[in-house]
Amino acid sequence: MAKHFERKGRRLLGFNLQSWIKGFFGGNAGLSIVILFLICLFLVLEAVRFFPSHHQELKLSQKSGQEYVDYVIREADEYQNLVSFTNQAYFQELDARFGIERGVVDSFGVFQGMIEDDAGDEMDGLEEARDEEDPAALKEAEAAYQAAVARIVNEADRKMVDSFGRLAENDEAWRSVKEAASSYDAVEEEIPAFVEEAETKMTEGMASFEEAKALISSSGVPLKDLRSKLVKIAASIKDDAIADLTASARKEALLEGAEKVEGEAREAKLAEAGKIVIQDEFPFAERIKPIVAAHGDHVAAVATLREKIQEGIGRLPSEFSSEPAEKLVGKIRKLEPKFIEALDESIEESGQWKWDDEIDWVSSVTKFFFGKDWTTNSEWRQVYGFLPLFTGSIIISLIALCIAVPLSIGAAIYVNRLSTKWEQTFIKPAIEMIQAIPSIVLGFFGIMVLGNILLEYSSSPWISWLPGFPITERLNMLNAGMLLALMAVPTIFTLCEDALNNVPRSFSEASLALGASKLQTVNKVIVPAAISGILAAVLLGLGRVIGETMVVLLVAGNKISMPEWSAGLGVIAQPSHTMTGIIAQEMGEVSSGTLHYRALFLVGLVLFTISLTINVAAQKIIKRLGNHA
Amino acid sequence: MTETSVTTDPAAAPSVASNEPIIAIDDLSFSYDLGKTNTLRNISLEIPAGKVTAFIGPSGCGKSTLLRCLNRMNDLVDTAKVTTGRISILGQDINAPDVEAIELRKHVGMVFQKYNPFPKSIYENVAYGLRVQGIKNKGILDQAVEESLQKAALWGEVKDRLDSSALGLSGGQQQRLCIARTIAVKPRIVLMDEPCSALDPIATARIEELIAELQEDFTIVIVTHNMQQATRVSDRTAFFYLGELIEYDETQIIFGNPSIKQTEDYVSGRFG
Amino acid sequence: MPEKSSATDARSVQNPFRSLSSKQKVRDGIATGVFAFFTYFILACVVLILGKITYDGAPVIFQSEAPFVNTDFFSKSPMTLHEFYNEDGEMIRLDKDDFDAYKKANPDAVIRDEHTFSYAGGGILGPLVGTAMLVLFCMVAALFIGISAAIYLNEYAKKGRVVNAIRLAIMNLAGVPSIVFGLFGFAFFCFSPIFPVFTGNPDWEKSLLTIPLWPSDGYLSFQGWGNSVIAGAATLAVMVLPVIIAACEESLKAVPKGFREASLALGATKWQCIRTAVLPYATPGILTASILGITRVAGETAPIMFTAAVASKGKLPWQDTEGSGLYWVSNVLTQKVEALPYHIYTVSGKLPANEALDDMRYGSVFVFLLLVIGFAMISVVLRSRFRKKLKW
Repeated sequence: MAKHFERKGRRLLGFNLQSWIKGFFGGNAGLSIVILFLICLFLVLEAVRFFPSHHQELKLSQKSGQEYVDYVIREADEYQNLVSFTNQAYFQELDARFGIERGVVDSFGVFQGMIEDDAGDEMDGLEEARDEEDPAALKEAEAAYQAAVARIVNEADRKMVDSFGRLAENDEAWRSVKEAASSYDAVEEEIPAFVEEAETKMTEGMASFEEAKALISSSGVPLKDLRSKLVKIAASIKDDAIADLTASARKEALLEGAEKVEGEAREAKLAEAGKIVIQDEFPFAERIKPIVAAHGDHVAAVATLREKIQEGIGRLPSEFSSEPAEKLVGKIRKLEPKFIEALDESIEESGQWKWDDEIDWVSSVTKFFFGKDWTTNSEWRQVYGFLPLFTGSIIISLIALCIAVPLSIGAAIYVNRLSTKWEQTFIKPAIEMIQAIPSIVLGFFGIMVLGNILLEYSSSPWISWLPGFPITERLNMLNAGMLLALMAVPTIFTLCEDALNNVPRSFSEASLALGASKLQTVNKVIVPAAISGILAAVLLGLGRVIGETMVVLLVAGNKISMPEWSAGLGVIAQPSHTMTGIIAQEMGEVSSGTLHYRALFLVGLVLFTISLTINVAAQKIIKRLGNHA
Repeated sequence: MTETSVTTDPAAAPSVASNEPIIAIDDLSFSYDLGKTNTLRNISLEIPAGKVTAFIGPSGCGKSTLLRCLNRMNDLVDTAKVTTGRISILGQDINAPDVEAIELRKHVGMVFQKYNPFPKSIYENVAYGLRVQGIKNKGILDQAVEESLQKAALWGEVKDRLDSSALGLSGGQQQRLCIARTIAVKPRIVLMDEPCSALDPIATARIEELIAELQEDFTIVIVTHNMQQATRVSDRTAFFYLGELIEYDETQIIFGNPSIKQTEDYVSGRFG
Repeated sequence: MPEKSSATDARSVQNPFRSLSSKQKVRDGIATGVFAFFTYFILACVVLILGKITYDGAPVIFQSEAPFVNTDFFSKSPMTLHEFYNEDGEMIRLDKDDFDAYKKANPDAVIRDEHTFSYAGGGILGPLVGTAMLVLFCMVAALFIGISAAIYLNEYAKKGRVVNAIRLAIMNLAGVPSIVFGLFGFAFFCFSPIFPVFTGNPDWEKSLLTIPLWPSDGYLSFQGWGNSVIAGAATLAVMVLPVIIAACEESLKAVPKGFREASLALGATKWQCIRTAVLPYATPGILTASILGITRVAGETAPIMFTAAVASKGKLPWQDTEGSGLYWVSNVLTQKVEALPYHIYTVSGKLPANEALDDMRYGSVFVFLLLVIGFAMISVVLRSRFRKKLKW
């Protein structure tokens, strides 16, 4: 008898065709696990290797004295800030009080330059004629010169000469400048009296301010000198140390390379390899001496700075004609004690600094996660501080959620419970369609349109009282947050709507039968019953927002610094950088295996972990709270 | 709080003389599809106050639809429409333009076929109706909750766990909780839509006992497909068939000596 | 009729179901109004954005004269725009090739105040072609893997830890930010020495394994794909996989169980059953899934920024590519491409604002939006149509 129900078909390696087909499909499905695993693997692999390199880099900056020099640099930078505020205040005040005079002097100066540039030939002719003392030629040369000058002056564009428009409302002064310029003798360089008068008036009027300004500007000269001196020393120590570290590897590479080539090239390579000296240990102790010794100079320079700048600021005028100048000087006065305090602190800390303290492993981690600077394109030193990127991402996400959550939950409630059938048929697909708008398009809109709208309208009186308004930067966190809110809306809306839909009909029937209104039913029964779904929706919205790249890259302003918390809620109007933005911006320019490359992978790993956590949390919430219905 | 006192204080509620019908349905036709086909046709009946009235009939005969007309739960269906006739409750045409369905439902409560407590605590479930009326006073709420639960014969079983979830109760308890929730707002009328169909016989018996007790305070209209239940709990019975009211009389008469052949066939179990 | 009037009087006096307290009514009304306002506010924002882009972008694409479409915009690649004044003081703007031709034709022409604007001239042919290639290769890979995975999950897999793990992985994969996929693609597809290229001069240091291919002088070198179309497409495929799997599964689920049972009862093997009784009926749904996938893939910028895209190339991928046969294919696949979203990023994010660039900016964004939204609409329409039709 034939066996009726026996399996048929050929077998391969002990499996029949059906098993192979199943295995094939299963393999493809399993690919998703493999991919997720690979993503984790690659991120972790590159990211973890950041820490040893970072440790090395930190050690190098310490032993080369860069760390110490950074104290000096920071002091000098903060000082420079005050100087530039002072200068701004000075010129604001100058413009307010002696705008016309300044316009006269500047415009005349521009004419001077134009005459020297464009009437050079005529000037040479005049000079020659004067030397030769031939009256006829002199007359001719003078005529030619005057004609040239007259042409220049008459053809000159008023807006270009008076580029700041200081004389725009004073035609008389403008005419006098023109006249003075027309009769100006560029060979003798005689400045007309009324220009000189204006200049004197300016100098005299601003004398006390000028003096204070000079005092402030000069107070930091020793510190700045010290800075440039120390920067050079530290940089050279570091370069040499790196060369030393890599010496043996380079030598090996050269020797290996020499094997592969013949003749002169070989000789050259061998010679170069011979030049490389391999030391047992780099003599940091020897090299660092000038920097250690400079501490005395440092203290002295700071003492000078302190004394002079306090005096200078004390001498700044207290009455102003210009409002911005008054504000700026007020700011300087407010900053002064902080600045002095920071100086003292810095001096104290730098006094305790030692080049040979052991830097432990933990600091290579903490300096990354809590560092407030991210500087990668500087010759001086690369600093990887993650905190500004993280805060930027978080603030932008919070702005986005603050806008998107009420909007989308409100819309979901409206569409699901309150609207008419007819409204539902177009609102739902319309909101879902937002998801299809690529983020680059929204970013484009932010950079081309929304930024300008914010800039223009934020100063109008009915909203300018809002925190951070009026906005001064076109690209900022608020702009990015608003666009990201729009990206989060479809996610939150759709999931919320689903959650509301999943609330059993009997709940709303029971509530309505008890005499509750539609809204009371929504408030007290539907929303509480759907709350887990709503929460999950918000979380997934957050996940979408925090991982979004193009909008923040284009619109957030890309300024890597901690937000100025002193602005209160106004921080939302400041520019910032983000975790996603930094990867997108810098990844294309790094070569693989460098510290910078790994730092970006570490940022990626953090981002990945955050979004994974959010995702898992959302799933857990749905699972745990969602099964009562 | 003035508007809430109207409903919480029974004395202030509009009253009808005991001999007058509390619900008067006059030539009612009702449609679920904007009047194209009538689910209920020309129904007229008067329901006396303080009695239990049962609606019986085979599935799809319109008895639940009529019940849902009485507190305008059918408003939730966009295409529902009363095509002719009127329903008066407490002398008021409930489909008149100046009647607010929400106010009506405060006077005409409803218990559903499938027990449907909210995913809240027992206490909050019972207090819900009062809370939506704006009552926040803890004392009033406590008292109302206890009273209602006692009336629903549930107090003894749940008094120690008022704060635990209502979903932890058994099916019968959940249905009694729903009844407590309904009577907590002190409606004049309680509509019950096959309240026992999802319960086992023991739980059913308890609900039936409860209905008998509630009869003292409320007018009850109950839809049931269980004829024994109708005989046990109701004073009057209405028999519906294919959207029409066939016969309406004292329960003993309907079940003992019906005047219409169809009714007799149905109650004796010959169809349905 | 005194009776009747007294009845109405009585009713109006004692209507027990008079309307709600005004407080409650006002509160309800306000809340409903606020919710409605939120809803329409969202829609207004969308209309504003799309409207602005259309308003400024459509005039770049469409013209009032035949052929009604700016053909240059679709037949040229981005190039430098030259702006100058001729002897009559007229301002003239010409693309680079037109400018060269102009200079050749009028060697004595006066050219004053010449300015050049990178990327502002020409059209978007290169970026369109690049995006099309990326989408095509990506979808081939993603659909192949995605459909297979969906078939496994829906037809073969039994509930258990393996399937749970796969589903968890897919779900989590869907939440990974696109820039992280970019990082992954950069490290994996571009530089992992497991992906081979055909090349004349392999990168010996990176290459894991180099196989000389006699008799030609080329090599098969395992050195990673580098920044290339294929690496970009693979990265995008990985990113879109969860979407494809979910959509395919949905369409497989929509095929009634009865079909499978009938087929199996007639003695079909599992695979025959899937092939004859499941896949044919799931095809429309799978088609929808693939269009949905295209929408996602075409719109993404972050994953291709450093795996495939280049700001300007000048030539189309197949022009001037060296080699023949397999080498040619390999060379086409392993070169960088222009891509429309990246082009938009370049012209709007990397270049300073200038009025001369506006046409290029709005034109590109408008075309891009039209394409992406168009595909999205098609997928929505198809999906709802299939859902209606598929009531077996």
